[in-house]
Amino acid sequence: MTPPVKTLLGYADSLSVAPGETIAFKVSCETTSLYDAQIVRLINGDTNPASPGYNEIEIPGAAWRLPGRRQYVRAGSCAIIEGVGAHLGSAGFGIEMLIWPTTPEKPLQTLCSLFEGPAGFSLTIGGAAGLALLISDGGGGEATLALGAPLRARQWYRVTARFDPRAGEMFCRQKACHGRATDAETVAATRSTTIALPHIPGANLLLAAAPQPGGTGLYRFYNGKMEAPNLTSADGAPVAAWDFSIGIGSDTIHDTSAKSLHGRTRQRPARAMTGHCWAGEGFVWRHTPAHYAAIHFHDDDIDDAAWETDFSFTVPDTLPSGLYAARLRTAQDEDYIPFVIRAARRREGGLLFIVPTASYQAYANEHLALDAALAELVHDHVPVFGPNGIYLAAHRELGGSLYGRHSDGSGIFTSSRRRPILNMRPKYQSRLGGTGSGLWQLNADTHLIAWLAREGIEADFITDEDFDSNGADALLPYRCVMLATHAEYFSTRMRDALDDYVAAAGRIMSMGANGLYWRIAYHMDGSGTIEVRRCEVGNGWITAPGEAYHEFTGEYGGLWRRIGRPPQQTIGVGFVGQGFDRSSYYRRLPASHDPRVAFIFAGVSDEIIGDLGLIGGGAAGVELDRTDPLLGTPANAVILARSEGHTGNYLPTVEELLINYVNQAERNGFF
Amino acid sequence: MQFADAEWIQLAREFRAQPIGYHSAGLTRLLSHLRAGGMEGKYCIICIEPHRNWAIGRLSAQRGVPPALQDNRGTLDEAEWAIFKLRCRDAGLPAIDEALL
Repeated sequence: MTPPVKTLLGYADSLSVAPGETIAFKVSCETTSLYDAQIVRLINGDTNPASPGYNEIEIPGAAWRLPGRRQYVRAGSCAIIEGVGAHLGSAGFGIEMLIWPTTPEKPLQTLCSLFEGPAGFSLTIGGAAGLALLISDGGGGEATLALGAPLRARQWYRVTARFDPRAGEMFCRQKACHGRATDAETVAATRSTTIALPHIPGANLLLAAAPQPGGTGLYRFYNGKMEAPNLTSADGAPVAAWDFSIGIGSDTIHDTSAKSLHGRTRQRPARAMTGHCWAGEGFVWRHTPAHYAAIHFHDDDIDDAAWETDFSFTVPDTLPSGLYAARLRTAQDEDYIPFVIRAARRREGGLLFIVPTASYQAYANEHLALDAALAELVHDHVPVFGPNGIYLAAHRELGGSLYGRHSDGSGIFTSSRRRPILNMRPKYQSRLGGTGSGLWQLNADTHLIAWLAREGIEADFITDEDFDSNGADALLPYRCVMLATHAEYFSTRMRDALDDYVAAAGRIMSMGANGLYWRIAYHMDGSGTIEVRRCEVGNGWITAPGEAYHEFTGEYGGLWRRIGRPPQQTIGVGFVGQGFDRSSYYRRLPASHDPRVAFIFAGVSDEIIGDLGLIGGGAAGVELDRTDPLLGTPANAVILARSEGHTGNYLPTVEELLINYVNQAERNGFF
Repeated sequence: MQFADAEWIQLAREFRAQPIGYHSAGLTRLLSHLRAGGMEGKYCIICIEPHRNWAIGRLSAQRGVPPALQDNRGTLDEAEWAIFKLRCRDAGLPAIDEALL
């Protein structure tokens, strides 16, 4: 017997929808000609026979049988400036830019290309050829000039290329431009050629990619930073000069020439990145934008899979707010595309459940077990791959999580929901969820939903993205707000709104640890893409010096604790440590016998609480919080119980450490 | 790593009794050593049937190449135990005589 093979997957154009609105689903079906789609309400996503039982409710009248077709994810970022060919004529060109290649050993990475059909030129780096200029006349004639000189990774170079058909000459030069560069680090070459480049007025200029011959796709993506590309005629007359320090946070690249040949980036390369002249004088890109004139392109950037829509669902007024999914099925496979239905009319004085979709996106398609050799030491068990994990291992084009690294080793700063997210699924098991059901993120949160359903507690549901968009207004009518099992990633608007809500005597139930931990930024373009700049403290990666401020908002990134707003200020507790093997239990503290809190313990006589369960066999585990008055735990907080007896896999978090020593957590009384 | 025979059998016995969870200092040290290897060919577990059946796999260390399936199957604890024995063998530790456990 072999494991099931994933052949059916999809995503929706939104993570939430209100009654009367329509949500569109995009599906790739790799095997059969027909698949079944059914909207279901998700109650409990845990398939463990020891759990209360998997539970989904099919929504009548929301089922389809549809023809399957395969759709592909095309990863790789670049910039496109349309119609540049019209400004070049056939009298040649010159191009110059600064580059900081990250994988110079990888062959055929395009710095820029300009083609109409087979006619055009490209400037590439990589492999033994190094910097290379190719001219193609469109009729089968080609001329190439390659420097054949190695480029060092993560080193700035000024590269120049020129084609002068009147002189019959091609020219290339690479010049190292760090402060101690020697003449030996400048390499140049000239060759004569009889090739001609025809006038190709419809040709677009691509930066960091080339058009695939005979197709509509792009290929030969570049890994690394690029700064200040400019285009001239062969005799040096300016045509266009792009300044990437203008428009940081947007997908626009700005031509400072009179021709205004502005362009757009694709698949969201990283901006607000230090350029060749950054030397540590300023750390804020908004203060010294000229030092942040670089874009970092990656051959695996993915922000929008841009799949075609397969079916849509208009939400009837009769459906209650909750967590739903489009269930897709063939005989061989199934997939679920989760989404939230918001309330048609908000439940005045009721409960609001915030589905932590920012945290789901942060962990989207994580590859820790594949990429982090020591992840097994963190988890203390051998990584387990299900069908979705195996599919993700084979299809890196689906993009990684905010814990992952790009193919060039640089950190992944942004995470999109416009792609299949195969670990944001009911029935999904994650090794991060300890032993037992493997509950983590969305599938863990379904247990809260199942509990609310069992207790007959009705709630309105919104996503983090809704919360970020609407701020304090999103919480206003509710008597209580429930944060789910792992509300780790918070934007400033979300945090401000939650703080305002608490200040106005609102009630929060925070149902898991490690909440309100990392600051993120949602992009203002409505794409739902989030950004994190892990600085000071890292996880999976840490920002390079000078790159700690978010591109999307200009805000300083990292831990809320390091920004001066520890989670303890809002929810009383904050992150202290983690382990991923066995969970432990809580022991009641004397304060729990205070008559003030008697209502909490009505009917509970146990001193030990939560010494069982589906996540590591205990209620206290995976991630742990602590109170601390110095970090903001309110003076009138009542600490009812604390956990004890954690395994040796539990270690304090890095920001708790000033210096390492043995048994630090125990000696500090953390756990 | 080297162990006296008695200690070695004791550690193996401890691991088999509870592959995941509370471990003695000696077993923690051994597991840290066994688990810290590089990615190429690193053992992993592949779920054949959720909550019922697992197999041993090997990682490729290459982007886009998924884990390769090998054929030992059983419970999750049995898969952990099988990988423990393979890693001990790969680390040059003495063969485990299961009759002694």
